[in-house]
Amino acid sequence: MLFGSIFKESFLFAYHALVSNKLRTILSLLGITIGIFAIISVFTVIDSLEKNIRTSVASLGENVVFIQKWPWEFGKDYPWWKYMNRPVPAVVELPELQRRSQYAEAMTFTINANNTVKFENNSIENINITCVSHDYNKVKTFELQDGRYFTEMESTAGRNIAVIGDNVAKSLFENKNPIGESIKIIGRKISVIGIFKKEGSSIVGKSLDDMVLIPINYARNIVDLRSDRLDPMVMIRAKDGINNEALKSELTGIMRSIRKLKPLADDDFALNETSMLSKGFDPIFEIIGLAGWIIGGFSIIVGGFGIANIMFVSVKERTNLIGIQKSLGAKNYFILTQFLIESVLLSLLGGLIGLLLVFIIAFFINIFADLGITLNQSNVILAITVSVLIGLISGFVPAYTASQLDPVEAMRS
Amino acid sequence: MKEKVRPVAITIICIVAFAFVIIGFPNIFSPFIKKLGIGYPALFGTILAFNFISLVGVWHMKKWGAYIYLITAMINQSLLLLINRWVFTDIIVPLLFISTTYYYYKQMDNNL
Repeated sequence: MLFGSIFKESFLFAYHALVSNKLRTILSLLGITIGIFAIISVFTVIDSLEKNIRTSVASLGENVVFIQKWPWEFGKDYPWWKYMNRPVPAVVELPELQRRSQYAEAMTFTINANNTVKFENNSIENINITCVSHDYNKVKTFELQDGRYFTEMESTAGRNIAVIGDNVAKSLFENKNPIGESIKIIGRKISVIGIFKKEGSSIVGKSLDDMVLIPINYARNIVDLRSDRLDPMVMIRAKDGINNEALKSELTGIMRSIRKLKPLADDDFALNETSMLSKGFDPIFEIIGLAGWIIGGFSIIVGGFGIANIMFVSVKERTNLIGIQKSLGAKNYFILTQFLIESVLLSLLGGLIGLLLVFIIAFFINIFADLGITLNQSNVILAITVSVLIGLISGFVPAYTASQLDPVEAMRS
Repeated sequence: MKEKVRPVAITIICIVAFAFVIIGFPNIFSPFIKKLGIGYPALFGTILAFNFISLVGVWHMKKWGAYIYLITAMINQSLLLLINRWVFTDIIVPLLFISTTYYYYKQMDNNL
């Protein structure tokens, strides 16, 4: 009760002091605003990108192994010369892998190409054309908003059919229903039988929204499936309860056997998994986080010195008022609380403005770039905590000095 | 009310401890502490703030400063042990500070 009334009275004193010196208040809280803005914006970007990567990686499949020519390794010491003469995975290796693997739930052979897709007078350039064998829907997780996936007969027969992404459908067909219509790729007519549900932009891999999916047996009539340029790969999903290590170990044996590699020969294929991608991003995020932490940290310390300075000025200006308060019976802790609340309020206000700036900028970035940057709860709590603490630390010395003033000397000043 | 004269040893150890507080402040929002959990930056920050307040108290030769420092140092060391981040060097400054403060404890003031 007593603390409540002290707090209320101190709050009102502090509020009036801040309002009566608006320009000074704004200038002194700028340091904290910039500091909080710098640090929270960096953390927000990192957290959002990490979340997006995790979501993208999850959509690729955490229990999926990719047999490819090139391993997913990062860094400047990538030994490309060791891998460049390797053969690419071949579509003929798929049936053998399917026959021998005990740990695989499903597997699919895919190639990727970029090409122009046309419908009547509309066309979109550089669209990802993914050509897949039938079990693609059992390996990759996706949903359809309209239409259907290929039947086994259509996949085997190599029918000229396609499932298209949401962005492709909207750009080519505008208000028309794409199902049953024919699009043109490299001058060939392909019927649309399904549309993927909107997925949003993907940081890792290609988004389904900008994809056209066609059966590999149709694509083999148009393109060379062994072309390195088309990034041929076999995607394998592990059975429930089988971890990636066990699956990779089995696949290594099968692939070495298929390719007739000698016991001492190096593998001429790479077994990649999605966790390698997220691990590859970790050092980048660590460096960005560290830079943001150092820049923001020092800005906040400078901001704290600004607040301490303004609080000393405030104490000097109100010395006679402190003397009157003390002579009327105000205790030391009341004066201390009053100035401490003022500095915490000032700092908190600066922090909240910094947070608001981050929120506004994230909002506009999402409107123009759709990067999915969101200010999360932990960063909001962190910003408020840091603001309050810097206010407490930087305001304590001036507040304590004010509380120790002699009432008679204070009134005379 | 006349303030007690501050011994040189207290001045030196307070300046060293102030420097550690300022350098240590950015640590409360370091990526490492943030990764520990949502409440950890606030927890370490509160310890740091009270640590600073205690230094102001000791600087003015107040006993409450010594008490707060002892409590915050104990909590800080326990927390570092708990999260498996305790290293021997972490205890050097607190030990020096506590022993110096203890030596001059009787000269300190009881009032706020």
